[in-house]
Amino acid sequence: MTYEEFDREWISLGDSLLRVAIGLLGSRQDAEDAVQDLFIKLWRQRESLSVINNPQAYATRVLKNQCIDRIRTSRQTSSLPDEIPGFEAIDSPVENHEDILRTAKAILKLPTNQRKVLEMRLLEGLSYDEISQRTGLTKLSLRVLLSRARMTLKMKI
Amino acid sequence: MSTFEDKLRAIILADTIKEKKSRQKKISISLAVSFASICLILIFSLPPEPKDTFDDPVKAYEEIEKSFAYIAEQIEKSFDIIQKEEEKPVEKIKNILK
Repeated sequence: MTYEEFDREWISLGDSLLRVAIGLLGSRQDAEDAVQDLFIKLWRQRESLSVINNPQAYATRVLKNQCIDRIRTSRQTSSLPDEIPGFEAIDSPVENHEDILRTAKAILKLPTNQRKVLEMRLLEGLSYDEISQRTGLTKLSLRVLLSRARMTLKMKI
Repeated sequence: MSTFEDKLRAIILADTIKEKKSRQKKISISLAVSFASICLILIFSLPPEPKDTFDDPVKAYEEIEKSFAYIAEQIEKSFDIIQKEEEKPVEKIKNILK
């Protein structure tokens, strides 16, 4: 699955999934953490996502399981309902979660043009020529933008 | 002000950067291990020092040929080792992604 497909089919569900998580966890911060965890796992398993017919239903169920796990861990109780069967495949915790969040925060602080070029290069795997055609920037300008973005990230993370 | 979807895109980009860094680190370690192995192989498998053949140009030429053949063989072996080591992290990542 390409990044464009992932963005269109999965990331577009972000806001509705966030509302589900807020409803279950009661805190926006916890809900954002849960949804972000979910998306890291989904992205890492993107190759197997193309077989899923209903991304909304799948993501909601996996998210609910994750939220149940979070509540169970925080309360240390077993009185909560069991996970929804068949949707427990990606419930292990994300490694380096804090590290990824720190990097993500630094990425969000980058100027929009640097962030977009970084996305095209790293996530979409586009060549300099392709990015140049898409953005209208020269290859030299692209290299400068990418270099600045990398330098900024290097300093902040 | 960034939207939540922008945050998710940034998270995915961050995860990709981390994954790339970790892959580069693994490749560097593999290359360092390969290089060390090659050095050890070369040290322990050096042929005995040839006798001085300067008096006989034909024998000298033969010795040079032998030496070049030996070096070529060792280089080939080294490339094989490097190639195998380079494939290891890629295979591991492929397995994780399966």
